[in-house]
Amino acid sequence: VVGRSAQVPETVAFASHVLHESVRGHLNGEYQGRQNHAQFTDLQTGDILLCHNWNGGYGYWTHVVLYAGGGMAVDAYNFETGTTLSPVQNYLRYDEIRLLRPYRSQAGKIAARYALECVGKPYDPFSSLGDSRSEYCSKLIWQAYEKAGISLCARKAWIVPDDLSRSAELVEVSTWAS
Amino acid sequence: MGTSYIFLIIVSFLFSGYIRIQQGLVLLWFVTTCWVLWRVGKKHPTLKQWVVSAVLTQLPGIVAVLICAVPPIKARYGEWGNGVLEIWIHPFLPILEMLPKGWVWHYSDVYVVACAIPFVLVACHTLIWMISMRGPEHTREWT
Repeated sequence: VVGRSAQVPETVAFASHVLHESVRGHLNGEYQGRQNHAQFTDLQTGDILLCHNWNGGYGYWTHVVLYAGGGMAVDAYNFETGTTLSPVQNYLRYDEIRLLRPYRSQAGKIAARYALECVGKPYDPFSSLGDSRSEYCSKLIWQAYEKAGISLCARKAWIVPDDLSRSAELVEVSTWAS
Repeated sequence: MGTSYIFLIIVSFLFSGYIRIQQGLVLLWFVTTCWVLWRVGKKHPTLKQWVVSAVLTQLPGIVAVLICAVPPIKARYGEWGNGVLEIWIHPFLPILEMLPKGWVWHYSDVYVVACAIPFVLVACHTLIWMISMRGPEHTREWT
């Protein structure tokens, strides 16, 4: 309870910021119709793909997915489809992509295995980090790495892709822009 | 009943992370609302007025579903429609999440049921009126 109380000002500030951006029409960002130049030839299981498009309402990176092997990524994208397995080529439509990799490759495999188990779960951006019955993009990845024994960032009410981009547990492999 | 539903949404958000409490809240709201509607329904004049008031209480959810269902509108505003729908049916999510994970066509099964919720609530609202009007003394008021 004390931990949750301490998070309240930060949560309120974040919610207020997102609300402010939302009323200006900024939320998940907009595709510009031009592809980035990502090369997905050397992806490793457990890699994290941060995606950026224009006009995001909650940070520079507007989406994040976890590479699960075989050219597919686990993606908790929206309420309509829930958590799905998508070809990585789908992410070429973003303005920019950053590839992050955990220092421990074994952790990536464990995280990917957990993420694959989550395919089919519903999408709920308001669900807490402790609730594993529904997912949203950054929460899925945060939980997957928690299962692998790695805390990508401090526990809080909402995890956004920008939080993962700053993780000390991950190394940047490459960034591709359009 | 619209006010009580908005209050339920707010309380449901305040208890995010406390799933059992959220489930209890929505069940309590549903039972209490059914009881109140049954009591009020006996005095309500016509089915038409009753259905209109039921639709009005669920209007944000119904509009959100329609935005997500009509292709030209969905292409432009689908993301916002889904967002409004997700907020509107948020009290029911802790119950919907008990569904087995999967899809109906290519839609999340929770999403499909969520889209039905505003309409199911209107149907329940109407059904309660009909039940409250049972008996020979009320038969003529159905028309």
